[in-house]
Amino acid sequence: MTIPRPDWHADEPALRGLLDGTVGPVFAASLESHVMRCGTCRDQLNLMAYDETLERTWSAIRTTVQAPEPTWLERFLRSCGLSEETGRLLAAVPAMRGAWLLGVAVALGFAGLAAVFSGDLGTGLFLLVAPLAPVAGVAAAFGGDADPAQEMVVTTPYSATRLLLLRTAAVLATCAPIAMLVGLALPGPDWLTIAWLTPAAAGATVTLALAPRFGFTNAAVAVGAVWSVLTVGTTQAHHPTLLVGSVGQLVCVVLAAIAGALVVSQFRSFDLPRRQP
Amino acid sequence: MRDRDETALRTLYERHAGWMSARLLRRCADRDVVADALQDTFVSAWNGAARFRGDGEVAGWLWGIAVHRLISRVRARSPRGAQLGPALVSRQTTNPSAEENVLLAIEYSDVGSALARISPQLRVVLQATVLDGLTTKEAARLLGIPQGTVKTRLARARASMREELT
Repeated sequence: MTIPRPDWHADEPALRGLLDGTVGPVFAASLESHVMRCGTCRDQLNLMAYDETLERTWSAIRTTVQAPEPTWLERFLRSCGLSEETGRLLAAVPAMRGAWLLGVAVALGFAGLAAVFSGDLGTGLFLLVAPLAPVAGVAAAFGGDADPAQEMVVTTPYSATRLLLLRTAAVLATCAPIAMLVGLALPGPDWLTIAWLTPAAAGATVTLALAPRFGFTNAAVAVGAVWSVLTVGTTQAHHPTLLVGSVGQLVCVVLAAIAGALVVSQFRSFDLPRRQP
Repeated sequence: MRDRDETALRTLYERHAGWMSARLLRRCADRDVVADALQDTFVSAWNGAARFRGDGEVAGWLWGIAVHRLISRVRARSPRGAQLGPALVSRQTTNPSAEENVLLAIEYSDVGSALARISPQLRVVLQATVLDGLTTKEAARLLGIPQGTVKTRLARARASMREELT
């Protein structure tokens, strides 16, 4: 057995051959293990191998280590099995922010209180507010003005369809539990707790369907106005639950189905610049 | 690094990214996968700098992370393993040049020539397990072959080496 000489160093052609893959596998393995033990040869190989691709990798590394720590919400979403990007996009949905949640909770809470104390009028008020919360959430999630992540979202090469479904799901996930809780406290019939879900679904899908043509904010305002007129009208007529009765439910389901079909057929128009002039 | 100093990370990167990417490319020919693995390595070095006790060589520590990040990336890319680099492609050894022979004799002596003589398929498995220090499971992922095959080839490689050396 020959003992490796401690003063042996790999010469440039050998290292070049290692980089090009032209040296034989056994010699290459020998060179590689030498490089791990010998700082001089490692530095030389390092210099020879350092190219501009590595600079690109470096900028990626720098971006990652400079990125802010994920919020508790992002960490929670990731632990639910969502990818990092999806988690960040969801956490950036306005409906996920504290101020928004608080706003929805307060609005619904007042409506609920009103219902407890003043019967029909309060029930009408609850029915006015509850379905509109998701509509407003959807509009805020896509409207642009209210979304600080809008610039990021527009420039992210991400399927707009997927984004649409994701953000809508996020909006519903935050609004629905609050409205349901308030609904539970209402004095009216038990089914009222969930009766507002169909108008809400109809409102949100109609907003989505109208949005490509009129913009999210306009669509949401229009839907809100129509719904307000209807609820105020029925409440005036002392039938606040008429809208969410069996006929109302059926109309809402049909509306949601038509709007849903429209949204599906229009998926393309959600792609890229979402705020067309 | 412990103090989350970005300049320190940059220095570390400049000193080690080159040779590490060269060695990774010998195992995986897909440049994108290697770049991703390299990125993962330095990000986890950044996050785990506190865990580096400083009693080993930095190079060895980084390389240990890099090989495992490469395997995860290869696995994420395709279930059958990525395009292998020259160190893991089982090609027939071209006759080493006279100069290489001399160097081989210096570095490995009998073991070197024995390695050169065994079947390339077996040598690749030896490279991944013995020289890179991977477990048979990790080697199987990197090479894109079943773990059982790695074990059988490893056993055969050991037998061949023993034969060559006696």
